[in-house]
Amino acid sequence: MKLPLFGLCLSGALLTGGIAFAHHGWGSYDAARLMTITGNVERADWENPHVMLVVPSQGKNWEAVLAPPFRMSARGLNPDMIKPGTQVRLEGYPSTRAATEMRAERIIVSGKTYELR
Amino acid sequence: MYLDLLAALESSWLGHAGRHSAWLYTIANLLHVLGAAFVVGGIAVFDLKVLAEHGKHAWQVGRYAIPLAAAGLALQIPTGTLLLAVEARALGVNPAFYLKLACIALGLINVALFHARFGTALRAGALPPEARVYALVSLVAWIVALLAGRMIAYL
Repeated sequence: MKLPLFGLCLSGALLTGGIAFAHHGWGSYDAARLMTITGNVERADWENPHVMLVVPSQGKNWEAVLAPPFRMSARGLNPDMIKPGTQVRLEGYPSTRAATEMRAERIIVSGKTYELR
Repeated sequence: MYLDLLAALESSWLGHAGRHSAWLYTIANLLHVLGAAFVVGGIAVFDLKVLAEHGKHAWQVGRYAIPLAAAGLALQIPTGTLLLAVEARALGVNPAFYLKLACIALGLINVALFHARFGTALRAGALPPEARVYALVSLVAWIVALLAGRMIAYL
């Protein structure tokens, strides 16, 4: 059981060849300023510690920090539902450190809202 | 050099496996909490025994508490390496992470010195008063290491 699982992870890793985003701590988001963006997913990284989306909106490429993959699955989301090209609406808080980073509190995809906290 | 090491760890198979497996990362996270409880709990009980009653019969506590703390440390090293590998470049330069590493180093040096100096006295059942300084340093070092570890997520 362990070896195939590991193999699956490794091959997935090699295929995506991902360079992870470096996101900042949970303290560095402005919880007083709720923001909403809508756009088509340009890039999706279904990775620990948090799933990340790049969503262009109003001339900016927003990097949105979602939930850990484990919680995303628990809330009924899967990688296919937010793959590049999908239209999503994100509600969350902007980073106080990076100008185009946000922490998503919820995601609305194909008319359904998923709470991420 | 240190930054290269972090980058190498992040791009290693361990980093990839940690990022892409929900289960592996979650289990490592759970075990890292359990390991922290074993390390700090085991050490705190022993340190309190050294501080109290001039360390009389401290070995009666130590022979259970020390293996528990060692088992915790054995859990912490592999799980901690995995958790770090997932985002090594960002986590490795976090100020709380530096503090945590410094406290772990202090704690380990303290353990080595304590046992080198008082190992025989400990088993004989009578610790000299100086031993209490080590117990105090140990308590502070491991508790701060735990708190600093938790702070990494917030800085």
